[in-house]
Amino acid sequence: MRFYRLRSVRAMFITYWIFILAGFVFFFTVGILDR
Amino acid sequence: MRFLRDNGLSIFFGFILLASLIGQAFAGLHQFNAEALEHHQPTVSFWRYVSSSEFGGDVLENWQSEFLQFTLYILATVWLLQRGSSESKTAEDAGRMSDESQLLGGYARQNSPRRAKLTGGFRRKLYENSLVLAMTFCFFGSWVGQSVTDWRAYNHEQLDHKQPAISWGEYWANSDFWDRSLQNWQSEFLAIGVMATFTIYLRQRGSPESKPVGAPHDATGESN
Repeated sequence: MRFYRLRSVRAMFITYWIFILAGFVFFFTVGILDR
Repeated sequence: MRFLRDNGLSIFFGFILLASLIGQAFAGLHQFNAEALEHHQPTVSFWRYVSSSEFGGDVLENWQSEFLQFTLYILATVWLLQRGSSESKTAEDAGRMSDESQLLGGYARQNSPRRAKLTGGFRRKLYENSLVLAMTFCFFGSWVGQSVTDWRAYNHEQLDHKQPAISWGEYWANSDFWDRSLQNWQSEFLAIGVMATFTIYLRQRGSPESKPVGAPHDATGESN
């Protein structure tokens, strides 16, 4: 049970990181390509 | 159910983040197309607007200021105090604090993070500062991203008005870039100052951002 709960909070941590990094990649690409 | 209860805070803010972002995209699209019609230019689709520098700049200039706020807040509260504030440490705790109070090296607990158990060295140093390093990375990532997207948007306006386009480097010295950066920064700095001072005298029962309701006004660093 403890292991499951640790996994679930880690999932939130990783989700936020992925969202931010995906945002950077997306908007950098937009900025570079949008002439 | 347990997942929702364990992660309610991050799920709630993640949800209203996405809702706001979608709302911003629709409102921004409406505004963008209204201006396009005024200038007798073609309107754009939702997806074209979402993948435009105009939308990217609007998103990133707010992101960068939030990350700057947290970076400075986390760093400043290591050394600077506000007597009576729930957001401040007491005078004797000012600074980076002892290994003992930070549960480092020989003082680490059995379930402490692996890198906190190290007796020193670069990897422990990195972990000691990992929160502020992550925030700093996110700040510069979004600030540089803002500079690229807002630079493109600025040049679109220049071309619309038959003015010459400028380089990315020139945009860093342009007042448009600093106007957009500073207007976001000032609001973040106000919010921090207000939080530091309001929590001296005001309370929110049950919130960890507040002192307990009955805590005296001169109690510093107490929180629920």
